[in-house]
Amino acid sequence: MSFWYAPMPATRLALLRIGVGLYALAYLLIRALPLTSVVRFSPAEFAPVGPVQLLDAPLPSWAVYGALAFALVSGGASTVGYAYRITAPLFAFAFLWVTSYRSSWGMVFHTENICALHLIALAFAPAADTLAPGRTSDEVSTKYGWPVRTVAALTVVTYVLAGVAKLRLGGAAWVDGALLRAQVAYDNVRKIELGATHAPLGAWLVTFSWPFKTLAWMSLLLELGAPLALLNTRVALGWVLGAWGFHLGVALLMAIGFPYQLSFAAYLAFFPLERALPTLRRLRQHRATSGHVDAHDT
Amino acid sequence: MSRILAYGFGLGLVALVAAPGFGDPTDDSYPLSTYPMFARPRGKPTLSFVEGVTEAAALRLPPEIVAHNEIMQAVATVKRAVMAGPEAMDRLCTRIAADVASDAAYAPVREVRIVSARFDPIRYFTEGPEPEERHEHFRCPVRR
Repeated sequence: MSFWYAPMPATRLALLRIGVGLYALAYLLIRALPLTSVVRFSPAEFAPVGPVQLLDAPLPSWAVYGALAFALVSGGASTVGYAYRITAPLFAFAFLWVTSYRSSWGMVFHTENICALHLIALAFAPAADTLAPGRTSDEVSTKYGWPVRTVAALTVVTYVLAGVAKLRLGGAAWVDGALLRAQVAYDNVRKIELGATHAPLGAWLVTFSWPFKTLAWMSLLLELGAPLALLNTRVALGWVLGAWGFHLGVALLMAIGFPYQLSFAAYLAFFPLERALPTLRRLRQHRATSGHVDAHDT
Repeated sequence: MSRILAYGFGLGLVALVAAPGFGDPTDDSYPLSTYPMFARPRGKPTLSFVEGVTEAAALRLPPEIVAHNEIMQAVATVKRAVMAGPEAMDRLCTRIAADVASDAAYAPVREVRIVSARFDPIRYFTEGPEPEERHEHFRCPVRR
């Protein structure tokens, strides 16, 4: 089990904390309106999922807005690494709560699952031993390795599950592309008929059947082959580019965005992030120096 | 302590996330899921939607009016109301009619109706967008 308990630098885990945290914060800010628009739904539509199943009835509006505000505050603190042992679990739970609450009205959204799971994994890891207020560590240790492996493995498992579901639910129809074609057509019909933005490329492509067999096979290979990304960085890079292309394809054919994946934040755990740190520091220094020169010029 | 966390919590969390894969493939939840969204056979789906009726025509009301901006939420909201029966449809129709009444962009809309229509998704794009079947479930007036 040395793979799972491999030594890694504290910096890699800290950069992972910052990357995932920044994404989650940006997501909550950008999606604040849809996340809180549920306050206007009828209580009859309430169908709780995840931790929201603890509730018998919807929360009052102030609690919905309060939960989002709490998530933003705890998220800001844990991302910078402030009082991490307390703020990180609070943020992980708050993010899970806010996104679960939004999915508790008859439609389960799958765009935030991986981010929520990554935050939970990082919440109980020593991810603020460096790049945090008053904390610097150059240590390389197994205690920094397992959380990175956990985050990567969680990503891989979700792709494998999606592939398995296609085979179990769709079977041969999925493999020959018929189901994927019907899926793309269905999704675009629904959007057109409901007056939402559809994907013109998808609407055009479904007039042909031949591309969908190739696309279906590519999707299945990518999803079921996800564990290969755990082998080494080079294989991971190939798989990540494939997975990113897959999500770009979903966006172009069905107008469905998976922002966590498309932003690459979902795949950070596959790479030696600490190698980017000197470049990031040089860029920061360069910006500070040029700012200083500009100030002198004026 | 680190080793206990690594194997107990780390591997435990991964096992927990993988667990739905061994159960019913349609068992969908959050954050644990089988991710069945693109896997289910679709056939010829029946779509339920909401129309605003003017003097001249019937307009499809967009997701912002039906479920405050989310298309998937709008689909689920209307479908659930139709499945639940007249009382739920009355509540939804009345709420949408009130939103329509307060929005100047929908000034010509006199009535709201909840409709279902069955489409052949492939034929929709290869031959034309007419539904194979259409059924009106409920209608309510827009009171200004």
